Amino acid sequence: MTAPLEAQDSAEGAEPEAITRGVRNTANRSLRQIAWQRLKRDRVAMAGGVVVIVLVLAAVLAPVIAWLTGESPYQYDEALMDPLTGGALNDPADPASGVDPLGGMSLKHPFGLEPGNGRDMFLRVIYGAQISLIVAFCATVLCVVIGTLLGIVSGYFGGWVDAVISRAMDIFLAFPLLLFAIALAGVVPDGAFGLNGNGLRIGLLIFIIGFFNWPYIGRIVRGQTLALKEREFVEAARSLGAGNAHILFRELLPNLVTPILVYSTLLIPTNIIFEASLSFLGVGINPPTPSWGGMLDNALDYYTTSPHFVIVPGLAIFLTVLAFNLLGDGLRDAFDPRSTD
Amino acid sequence: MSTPGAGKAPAAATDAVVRVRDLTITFPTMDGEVRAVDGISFDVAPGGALGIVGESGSGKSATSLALMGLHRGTRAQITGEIAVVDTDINAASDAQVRALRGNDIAMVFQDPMSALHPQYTIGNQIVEAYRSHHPEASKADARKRAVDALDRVGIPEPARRFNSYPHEFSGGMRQRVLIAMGLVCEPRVLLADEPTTALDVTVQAQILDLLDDLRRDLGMSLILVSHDLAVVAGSVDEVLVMQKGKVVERGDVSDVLARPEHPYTQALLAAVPRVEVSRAQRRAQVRAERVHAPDSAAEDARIAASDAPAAEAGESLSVMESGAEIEAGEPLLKVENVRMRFKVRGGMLAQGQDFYAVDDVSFELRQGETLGIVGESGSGKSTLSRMVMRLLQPTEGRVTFEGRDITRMADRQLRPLRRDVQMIFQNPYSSLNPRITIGDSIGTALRVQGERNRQTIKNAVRDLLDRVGLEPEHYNRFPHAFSGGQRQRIAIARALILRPKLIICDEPVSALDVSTQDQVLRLLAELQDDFDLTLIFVAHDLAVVRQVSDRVLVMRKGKVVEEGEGDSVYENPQHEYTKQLLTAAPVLDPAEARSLRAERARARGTEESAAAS
Amino acid sequence: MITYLLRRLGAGVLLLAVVTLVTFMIFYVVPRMAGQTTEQLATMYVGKAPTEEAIQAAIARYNLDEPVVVQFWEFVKAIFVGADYTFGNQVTQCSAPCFGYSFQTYQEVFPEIIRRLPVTLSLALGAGVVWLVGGVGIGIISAIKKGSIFDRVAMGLALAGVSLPVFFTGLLALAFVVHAWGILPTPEYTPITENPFAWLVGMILPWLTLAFLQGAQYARQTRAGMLETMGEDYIRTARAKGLSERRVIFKHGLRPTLTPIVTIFGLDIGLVLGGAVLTESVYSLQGIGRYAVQAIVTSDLPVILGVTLFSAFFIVLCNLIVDLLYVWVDPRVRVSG
Repeated sequence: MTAPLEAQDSAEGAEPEAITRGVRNTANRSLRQIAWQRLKRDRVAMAGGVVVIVLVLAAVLAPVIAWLTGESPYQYDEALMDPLTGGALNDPADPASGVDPLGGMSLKHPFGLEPGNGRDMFLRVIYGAQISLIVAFCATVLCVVIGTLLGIVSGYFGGWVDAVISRAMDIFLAFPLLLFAIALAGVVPDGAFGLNGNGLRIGLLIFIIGFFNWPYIGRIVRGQTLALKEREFVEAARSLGAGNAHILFRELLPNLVTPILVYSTLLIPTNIIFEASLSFLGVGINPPTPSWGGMLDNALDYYTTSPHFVIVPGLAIFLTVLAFNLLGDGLRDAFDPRSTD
Repeated sequence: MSTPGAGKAPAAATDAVVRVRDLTITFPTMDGEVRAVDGISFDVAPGGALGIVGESGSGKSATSLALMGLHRGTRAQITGEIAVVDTDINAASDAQVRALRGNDIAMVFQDPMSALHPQYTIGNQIVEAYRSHHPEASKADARKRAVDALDRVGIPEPARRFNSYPHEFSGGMRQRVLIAMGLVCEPRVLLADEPTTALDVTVQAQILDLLDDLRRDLGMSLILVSHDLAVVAGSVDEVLVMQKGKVVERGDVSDVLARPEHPYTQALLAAVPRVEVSRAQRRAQVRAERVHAPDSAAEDARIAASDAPAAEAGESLSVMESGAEIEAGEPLLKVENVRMRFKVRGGMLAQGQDFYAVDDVSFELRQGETLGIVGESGSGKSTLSRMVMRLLQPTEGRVTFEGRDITRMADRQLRPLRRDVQMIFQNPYSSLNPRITIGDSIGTALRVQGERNRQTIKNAVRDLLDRVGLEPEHYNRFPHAFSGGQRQRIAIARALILRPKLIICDEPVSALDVSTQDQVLRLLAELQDDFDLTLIFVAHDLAVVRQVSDRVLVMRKGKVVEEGEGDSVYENPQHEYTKQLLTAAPVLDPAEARSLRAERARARGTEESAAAS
Repeated sequence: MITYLLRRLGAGVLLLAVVTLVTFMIFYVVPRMAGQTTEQLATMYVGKAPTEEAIQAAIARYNLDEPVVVQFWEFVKAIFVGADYTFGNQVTQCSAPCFGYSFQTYQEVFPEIIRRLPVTLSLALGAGVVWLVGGVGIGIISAIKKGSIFDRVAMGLALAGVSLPVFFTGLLALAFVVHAWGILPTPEYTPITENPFAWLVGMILPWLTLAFLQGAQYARQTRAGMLETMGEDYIRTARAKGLSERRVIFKHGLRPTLTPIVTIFGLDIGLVLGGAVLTESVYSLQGIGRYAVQAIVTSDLPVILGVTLFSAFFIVLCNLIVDLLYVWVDPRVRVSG
């Protein structure tokens, strides 16, 4: 008498429940496979992904590109510049030929020349990408490590541990971050913590950004942990004799990988902008090392004559940030269990 | 008259308030179209009551939303004809449908906790329903009607509660508020979609009684949608059984329940646990059916013989031996005067108040016995089982297992205990880690307990998968590839892998469809026989508890109100609350349902007069 | 409800205390961690011409040779009751709240901040109105018309908006709107009491620049929140009552959507009031944020310190206002607290 029902139960798999949610035949695909399929169909996100890959390659291969083009990001060429306004000359041979509205863009200098000193913008932008990406990636990693650890601990243990960590997150989120960063950059002398020059600068930027931005990840991880903790598999693991470490890292963490991945992708652009902002304010990377924010800071003096000096590094920031945002949004949608297609 | 199949159109009732013909609802998805409702037809006469019954995925909810025109604006494609009070829902303009909603046909939803807007007072929300259909009505008039409606559904002090927010009400009260909201325009049809699924059994009875009263007093038609045949039995005249979008059976409720014709209805009815069936009867039935399935018996023998990992580990005694040993002496489990206190945050600068989730509970359990613990939400039954499991530490009292006091043992000391006491959880969708393969999930216990040999673990897991009726080859699959019933089997395998002596089942079947419920209960019974298990069976469903338990504890608000042999508690309840529970339990026989309803009404009458005097 | 407010007030005071502590740490403890001696630290507080005498005076003035706890105590005391400063043989009273003296101008920091407050206030409030109204409005329309051309264009712009740093949009505006096309004059602050029209014209670009970034975020957030709210059960209930779609959206959908936005707005406006550092820098507006940035160049530490504390105060204040608003917006707070 129960036979037909039994057959139905096992043969149909998870179908009856699934129909109501509008997904069918997905039972045998893992969540990641489904997400990947969705992501592949999301052309905008894929475009973002491609731009990100190209950028990373360009940054990594910056010295190779410099060698190929035979240019250097530090090579001054003041002869090409208009002595009066600092803009690139229309005719390098004629100092009186006026300022080129395109900023000296040519095959040799595809992004033009830096006003005032004639350095090659193309290479400076690529070397700037190096700094931007290194700082943003490392800071994001720092955020993720601190945020995940504190978030998962706070969510899982609850009680006063949670109270303290949550309060700390609230406070961090309410900090006047930029001012703190400025202050920190102002008081730390050169040659501290065993680092100096730009090594110290990069380290400091990573620390400031990573240390003050972790609550974004922390909050998400805490929230997810709170939700997961209510799921009975945590109690089930405990009732099998598993300790806290097993539950935190073997049971909970695998469930947190996806949100952490998604929100790190969305945190990277925030951190890129943060780094650029600090460099713009003059507390980031020291010149002459190129940075996008630093170029825009200099552009304040030249925007009337050399608009390309605004546009080129600005677009570099914009496109990078946009690409990461597109990819992150796409990832988030792809992994969203509520979406039906 | 019971007409199987949906082919024949019902006798054309021209005066029907709801008329559905050949309704088909299709949802486009990534993997093609899913036909949630497939050509169904029915009528509801004025003042009539129709029950729509089906398990999850049967299309019953899609149907009820279609009656309200609530699929508008979604991607659902609807064909066929739906006429509600002579308005063609599919053809009508948005404005026409709106004029109908709430005014001619009102709907009550499943989850009263989320169906009310949290930021407006209930009065505001009811008045709004009235004034949107009676824009000419004055504020005072609308308010008066809202208060009347609240009064009608049994909200005490309606005029004062008018200004309360939803979070100030309990679930049952919120459902009453929603019904009041539906009533305020005096609709001709009330559509209730699983109105009691989220509620306790006594509250469920109150809401069903209320719906029945309202229908009779106000001459409304009622459409009651439920997964539970017993819920509709006492409240409707006609019933429609749906399976996978089709109507498989339709007819007068007493005919369908007494003489089901379609095999699906028959199976569904057979699977419904009946409170009148005793433990002995059920056991005999299960064992008898088992003998007729020699395959599985042979398999049992094979597995019992090869009883691999536990025997190899050499630590746990053979189940049979230990059983014999203990039966002679003291009880396997002894719980003495346990209490569990939780701090509740106080209001105005007040100190936190103490709240006892479990208050002075004692019981003993002998080897091989099954103890049923029954109670509604807030009764403390889950807290109690978690204290026995030592997932919670009792505030006071003592828990003794095999003579050892485990009340205050530290986690590390508890680890050996975990071999002997295991738990099966309520919700198989949340009790399995979605990111871990089922093989690993089941094997975790062995690993945590110190087994290092991967092959040993794997073999043990595969044997158990086979034993609980799953394919051993599915070892590397993730939980989402399995249905609810299959997942509960996995959870059972996980609890069994350490060969425990005592298993605590916390509502093990309440998240499952009726037919799956029955299979899981059978499996548990078989395993109890084969492994000589002692069980604590915690549930809110009286019938389920009766069928599996030798003894029963009835809990209410943290205290045990009645304890005894299963049959005596059910046939001769002593405590008022037990009686109340038993009269509230939904039954399949419509006649009996009505007599129970009358009994409840009498009980309420005496209560009220007692309160008044 | 009183408990709730008291708790929120407590949280605000705590925030202020922590920010004070962290600020103190940054200025007095971090340099030591970075390996600086008391004299080197004191040199940072002397200004351009460090004489041995001046360094010793700075050590005495900031109690740099005392234990850290004493330093912190004096630091906090100065904020609350003021302090006396000795410059050579001259003693000056720095009244509370005393954030110290600028090394550059030898002026008290606090009055200098107050002097610049109207600029930042004009910028923050004006931009706040623009981004709140614009962002939330666009977000709502986008959510209602999900998938329409409007939605696509608006969300595309919003995504671009959150990817554009303020200083880039600001520079673009300067290069094109101001310089190349001459549509607007170079942004400049004129007190509204002096010439309301000049005030308006001078602030338009800064407002739009700041509001574009923030508004883009608000539009995205509002749209997402609205879509989530519209999927709630109580929205289905509202529809089942027969309410018009307009009423369902604007009465039942909007309020839960806006509730979290209120919190975010409080936080954001607080941050901006404490100095819209980037916007002020790009347009050379003499606001509080620019004051701090200029101080970096000259290593004028008391100024940075003062601005940091002052902006923390604004953040706390705005958070408290939000908490008050919440009592009105969300009835659940009133009872449970």
